[in-house]
Order: sequence, then structure tokens, then C-alpha cells
Amino acid sequence: MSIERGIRGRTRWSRRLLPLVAVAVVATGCGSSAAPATTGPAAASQPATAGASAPAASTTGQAACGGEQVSLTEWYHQYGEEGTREAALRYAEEFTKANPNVQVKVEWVPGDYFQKVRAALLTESGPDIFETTLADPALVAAGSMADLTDIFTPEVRAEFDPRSFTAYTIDNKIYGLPFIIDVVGLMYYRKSMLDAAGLSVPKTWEDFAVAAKKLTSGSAKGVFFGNDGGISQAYTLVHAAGGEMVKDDKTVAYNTPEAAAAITTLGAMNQEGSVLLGSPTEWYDPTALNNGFAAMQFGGLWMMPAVKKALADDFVIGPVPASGAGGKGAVALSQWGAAVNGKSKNIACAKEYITWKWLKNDAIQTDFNLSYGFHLPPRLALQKSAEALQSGPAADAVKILADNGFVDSVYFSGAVSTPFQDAVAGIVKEGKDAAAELGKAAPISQKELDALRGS
Amino acid sequence: MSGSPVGSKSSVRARQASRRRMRVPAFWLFVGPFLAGLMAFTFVPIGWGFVLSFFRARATATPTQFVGLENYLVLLTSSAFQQALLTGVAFTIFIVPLSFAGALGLALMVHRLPVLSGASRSVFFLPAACSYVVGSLIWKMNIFNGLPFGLANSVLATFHIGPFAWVGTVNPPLYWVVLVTVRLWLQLGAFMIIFIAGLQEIPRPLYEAAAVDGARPGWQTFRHVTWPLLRNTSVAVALLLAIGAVQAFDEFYNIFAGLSTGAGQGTAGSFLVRPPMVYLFNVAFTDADLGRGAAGTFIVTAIVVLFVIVPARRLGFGREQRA
Repeated sequence: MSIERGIRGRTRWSRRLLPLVAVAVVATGCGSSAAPATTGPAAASQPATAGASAPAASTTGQAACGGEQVSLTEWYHQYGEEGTREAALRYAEEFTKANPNVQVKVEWVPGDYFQKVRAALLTESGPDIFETTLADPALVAAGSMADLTDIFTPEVRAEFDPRSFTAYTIDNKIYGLPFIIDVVGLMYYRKSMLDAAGLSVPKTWEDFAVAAKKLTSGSAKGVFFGNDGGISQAYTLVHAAGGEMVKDDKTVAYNTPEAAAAITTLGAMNQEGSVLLGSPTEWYDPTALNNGFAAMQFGGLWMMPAVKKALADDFVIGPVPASGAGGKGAVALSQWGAAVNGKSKNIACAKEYITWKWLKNDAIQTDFNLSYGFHLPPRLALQKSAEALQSGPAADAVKILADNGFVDSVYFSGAVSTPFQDAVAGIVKEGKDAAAELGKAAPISQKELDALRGS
Repeated sequence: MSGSPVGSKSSVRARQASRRRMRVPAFWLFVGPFLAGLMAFTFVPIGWGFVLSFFRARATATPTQFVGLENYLVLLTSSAFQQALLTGVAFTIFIVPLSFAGALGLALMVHRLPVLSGASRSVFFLPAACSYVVGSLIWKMNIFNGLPFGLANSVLATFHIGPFAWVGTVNPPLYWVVLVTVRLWLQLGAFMIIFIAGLQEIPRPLYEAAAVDGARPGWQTFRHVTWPLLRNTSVAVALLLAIGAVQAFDEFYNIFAGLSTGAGQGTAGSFLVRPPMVYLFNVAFTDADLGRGAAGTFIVTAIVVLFVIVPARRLGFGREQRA
């Protein structure tokens, strides 16, 4: 569950805009019922917007895309930030300019992105290139994700944070080319509210619970983890308690006394009423923090510009605090990467296109990460050269990611993660015994994991 | 056609034959497209789903590995699926009687109104024009949001109760208030119309005869005239309500959606409140296990047939109404 919760809904919503947002959500919801195999706007027919700001191509791909006419389809999920789609279209145009025989059709997919990708990949006319957060074991087994290992020579690998590949690797083969890093699980603290309560930023998970209780007063709650009270964020707590979800891609590992203790503390916060529930927006949106509905919020790097705009410097960030003696602060390193459809007729050309875009072209990677939203370029050199990341909370976030970032195994998703979350739901919502619930869930997860590996 | 004078036996027969010959292509012209659509979009998918349910079909719709009844056995022994079925049953038990009584009550009221009967019908029917998604989002974000300024909480605040986190509270399960009221609001009007149609079918003279025989207006007349003659309508409404309740997806998905999904690959719908359709949606499209998902739909279908359609047939649904 960890790696796939990435970037979503970073549009800045104000409370007044909610009805509009609801309408927009509805509109996308209605569109989601059809399986989009070949639909979508023909991006290639969009007017070229390449202007002075457009990054220049550092190389021009030829070999694999050379020769006859090729048409590639590329899927993105719907990014919230303005200008992102235009940027994606511009990169595609640029590639076509360098390779006139290649047309790239960019499709912007609103709504339940992953469900639609899976449905489209079942058909003959699935996208040639799609962005994804992980090498999905089921898709890899079905041959729907092409092996990209040959792109990653030792020199290329050295350009990345080594953790970047965890989510894209199955049996030593790499199935995705990371182009966006998001830090998920950054805790945002309202400085003024902490000061008013005479508190400093909590160093441990236990102190955090105490602070949450103290900060709950009047109409403000102590902390906002999202409207489920933190159930879907509990995987971060397992890491903060020094554990992990799946060990070596083989063994379900979340069932430890330390993890149970950390999740019990989350349950206690919920039962004491220190946790904000039923907010009109979710954890990935800073509205609750900005409006003071809660003094602390579980969030991500992408919301920092919106928080800064609303609160100026009235905020501090940190990882999810360490729990127990063997614990360590934790944030999830979440990514979007480009994958190639294993059943595409143009695998070689598709690979060349994504390599041109996300590996050889520094300007595009920096532009896509930092000109519209706020993300980290996965290639380390670009993190060091990007001006926006050199000072203030942004620099803190880069450091927090370096020190506290974790990535879970690709096998911790779907059917493997559901029993864990059901167990956490029982602990958090109904006050059930954590050790017992995790003990019951782990064998079910293990069975699903074995089935996934066997398939 | 033949040109022979009208009345000649042979020409009549020829015309009849030619008309019969014409009738066959005409039949297929009208029924063909419909049948083709039904085949392509209903029967073939059902058949294919049935086949899939016996295969290991992960992220593929053309599986090769036959697993027999494994998908069915895994689901039936899974505590999560059992819990989902229980949730579905609990929802059905809440919603069917409430909707039934509400719709019938509204119909009786509106049917009897001396003035503004048409306007009231429209007013009560209007919510049916709203989609479940819109209704769910308004219920979740505006009326029942957990902040002190949410509509429900502000109203309760004047009585010094609350505020409550409606959707997020499990003890007591306040989310049922949200789920049940949104569905009532959305579907009462439509079922009210069905009941009004049923009421209009009842011949006036029967009421007059009952009055002459000394039946008091109100309960006695309702019990002995209206209710028995509404039976076909009642059974149909109950049947539709029950099937709708088992199929419940939209409001659960939308009210609980943001609660648990990160960026789409997360489990859709709440962890605690997962009716069968949401559970199976997750299995089929989030876990990409189409075989198990298909098996689940056949289990749910079997349950509907066994516990809803068979009893409804026994109550006379689909038979001629006795006058």
C-alpha cells in the first residue's frame, strides 16, 4: 500500500469551492464507468505549445524509432496542478519534432486510474506507455509490463537513489523508470498552535499521542490522518516502530509486538477523540491544517506550496515520529515511473521515448517535478541542482527523505495488504487487541503473497 | 403484387404467404439489433464470467490455468467476504422495510391529497433524478461532515448534542444514518410513483362497496381493500428494493472512498463497511483477480435467487392478479 499512495488532488481547495469540487468529482466519477480502451482526446492534434520555456532535447532518439510510421499511446493519471497536462503534451511534441515518424498520443485519465489501466491492459488496444507507482506482480506475471532492465546500466543506476528501484523490481528485473518522487507521511505541525499549548515538536510516537490530546480543544482536533482515523497510514507506523511490511519480497513481517504497540497508540488517539474525522477534504489536501481544524496533519511534500501560501512560516515538518526503543522516524518514498506495455507492438520505440524523456533530458525532469507541483526529481544530481530544494522546509524534506525514507516491497499491495488494514481497522475503530488482530491477519496476507508469487 | 382481383382465394393465400415471408425479415430487423446487444453485452459476459470463475485469472481475461472450485472455496471461507455478506444483509434489513413503508406512506398521502397532488408528486420524485454519486457526496461533505459547522452537527448543536464524526464513528455505527438516509432520499420518490400507479389501479367502486358494508375509512379500509389489492405492486417493490440493496455500491464507494484510498490502488471503500459489491470490485479490479471476482458475483447471484426471487415467486410475483 505504501508505494502506490502517491500524488493526488493537489489542487488547492477552499471550503467555498467544495460544491464545485463535488461536481468535478462527480463528473470524473461518471466517466469512470466505461473501460477506456481507445478513448480520450487525441493529444497529438493539440497545438504545439513549445515556447521559450520548453526544455531542449539533449539527444535525439533514432535507432529503435527509426523507419516506418509509429504511433505511441501514453497514459497519465490526472495531475491536479495546472499546466501539467500541457507540459506532458509539449514533451511529446518535442519528441515528434526530433523523430517525425513517431506520434505520441498523450491521454490524461481522470478518476480511478489504476483500475482503468488494468482494464485497458486486458485488451489489444491498451496504452503503449503508462505511468505507475510499482511493478505490479499480477501485471508482470500476465506479461503486461515490459522488462526495462537493460536501460539501467550500472552508470545509470548510480544516478538514482538506490531505494528508487525497490518498487519497480521483481526478481532482479526492473519494470519502471521513476520520474517523480513524492514524500508521503510528512507530518505538518502548526507552530503557533504548538506554542500556545506549550509544546515542542514531538520526538516520539508516544509524545505525539500526548501532544494530540493536549492540542484538542474547542473546535480544533489534535491531528488529522485522513478521515479513516489513520487506518490506511498505519503501514508507516510499522516502519516507525522499526519494522517492515514484507521481508525480502517473501515473508509477511508486520506482525511484531513493536508494530502492535504503535498501532495501539493510534487506536488510543482515536478513542480519546484527539483525531479529526469527517473533514470534507482528505489527508492529501492541506485544508484541514490550513484552516486550523487540526494542529497536526499527516501529509505529503506536494502540499507544501499550498501550506506555505496559507500559513507563511507558521509550520514545521517532520517524519512520523519513532515508536518504541528500536524505532526510527519514517516517511514513505513514493514514486511515479514510466512503464511499457509488454504486449505493445512498439516496445523498443516506447523504451527509447521514455529514456529520452526521463533519463537523458534533465530539463524535462526538473520542469515536470518543480514547475507545476512540488515533487523531487528521482535523479540525485537534479535534486542537488534544483533551486527550489536548497533552503527552508523544502530542504528539510529532502533531508528527511534521505534519513527516514522507506519503500515497501511490491508484494505489499492489494490482497496482501487488505488483511492488515482490516486488522488495523478493528484495532483503531473498535479497540480490539492489536497483537491478536495482527496475528490473525498475517497468515492470510502470507497466503495471498504466496499465491501472488506462485502465479 | 399478384394483380389478381380481390376475393380470389388463391390470391389471398398468395398475399398471406408473401406477408408471412415479409414478416420474418421484419421480425429480425426489429429484434436483431436488440438481441445482438443482449448477446454481446449481457449473455456473453455472463457466460465468460462463469468460465473465468473456474480459472486462475490474474490480470488476464483469457486464463489458462483451471482451478476448479478453488475461487469459490477461497471466497466462502474468507472472513472478509463473509463480513461483506453480513454487511449486505444488514443493509438490506435496514433499507427494505424503511423504503417500503416510506414509499407506501408517501403514496397514500399524496394519492389522497385534494389539492397540489401533482406538485407534491413532483417534489417527492425529484431526488430520483439525482445520481447516487452526487447524493453521496453531498451527504458526506455537506450534511454529515464531521466538523462542528456541518449541517447535521450545527442543527444538533442547538440542542447541545455532538458534534459527531458521522462517517468515521463505529461505536455506535453512525455511518448507517448517513448510508440509510441518502438511499431513502434518493429512492423513496421513485417507489412512491410505483405505489401511486398501483393505487390508481384499484377500482373506486370497491371502496364505495366497502363503505356501504360498513368499513370505516382509514385503517380498516386500508387493511381489507387497499393492501390486498396492492399485493402485486408490493411484491414488485419489495423485490426491486431487495435486489437494489444487495447491489449497493455507489454510496458505499463514494462515502467511504476517500477514507481509504491513497492513489487508486488502495482498497476502495471502507474497511469496516464493505458490502459484497465493493468487496468484489476490490478483488477484481484492485487485486486484479478476475477469477475470484467472477466467482463472487455468482455467489451473490445465487443468494439473490435463493432468498429474494424464489420467495417473491411464491408470494405471487409475475402471476396474473386475481381481481
